[in-house]
Amino acid sequence: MNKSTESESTDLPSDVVEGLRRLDKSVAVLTPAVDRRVANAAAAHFEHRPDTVRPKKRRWAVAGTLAASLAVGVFLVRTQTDMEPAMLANDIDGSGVVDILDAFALARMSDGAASQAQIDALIGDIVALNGTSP
Amino acid sequence: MPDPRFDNLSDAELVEICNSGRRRDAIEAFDSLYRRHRVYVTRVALRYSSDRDVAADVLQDTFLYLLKKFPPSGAGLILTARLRSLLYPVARNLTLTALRQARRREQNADLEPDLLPDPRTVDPQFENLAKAMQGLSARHREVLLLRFVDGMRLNEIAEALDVPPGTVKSRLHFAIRELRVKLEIV
Repeated sequence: MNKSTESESTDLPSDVVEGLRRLDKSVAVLTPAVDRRVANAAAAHFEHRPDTVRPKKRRWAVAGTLAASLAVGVFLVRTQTDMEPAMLANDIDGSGVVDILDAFALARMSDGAASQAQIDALIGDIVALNGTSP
Repeated sequence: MPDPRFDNLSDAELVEICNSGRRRDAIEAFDSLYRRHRVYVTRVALRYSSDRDVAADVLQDTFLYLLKKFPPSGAGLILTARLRSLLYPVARNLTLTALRQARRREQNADLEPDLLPDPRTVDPQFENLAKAMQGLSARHREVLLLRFVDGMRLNEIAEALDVPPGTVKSRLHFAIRELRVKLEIV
């Protein structure tokens, strides 16, 4: 073992630190059974929380929605407005759903530039979309 | 199937969702925390006991303990340091409790926590280091692993071990000095 490579920041030579890390890596006892039990416990623990409301799609509504979308699209093009649909505007992570992850994504993307008011407004939208209070 | 979007969130953000998020989000957030830290918790358990069944039980019980911190059973969790500073003492204490129970069962008063790697798995390249670590007290081994392997800062180690930062500093100082002497590092 090379003992001359001193790591000033750790006060131990870097090869000793690397050796300690290697010695500690005799792991791998992970079993799917434990994963399952923890996942089941979490599902039971959070069971009574209100869930995110995601719109249920009905087959008969698809054709109607498409027709309505087309009509709105034609209307917007003809009227030359630059209005954007509210849900898409707040779907920061592009998941198709406006949820709490969008609030975190907004905060991270803007790197602190987004004001608390903007984030609060987004959270307000999430609540409004869900139809329940947080 | 885990939602990969949660993997991009920090521990503090995931904890926040577990505290007050909606059902599906809270479950996903907790699952992300579990997958992110399960190897670490298992490793901590194996530092104190080479029994893999004990380590598996400790892994499960550590996360059940964490789960109970969140509403409705708990008041919620506020992270003042890294999550590992919270997980470490839980995993450590659960492992030591399991060892004490085993000791009672086996009537062997000399059984001590290992804090050592399984000798069968030691790379020959690090045999001297393993022997040097073996010659240290359990407290010194513990503080060295927390500092150099887990990469914890002094205040995080103090929180994990529930001792004042000054005590950590002093233990670390003596542990490093002793290890250097054993390895004949000038």
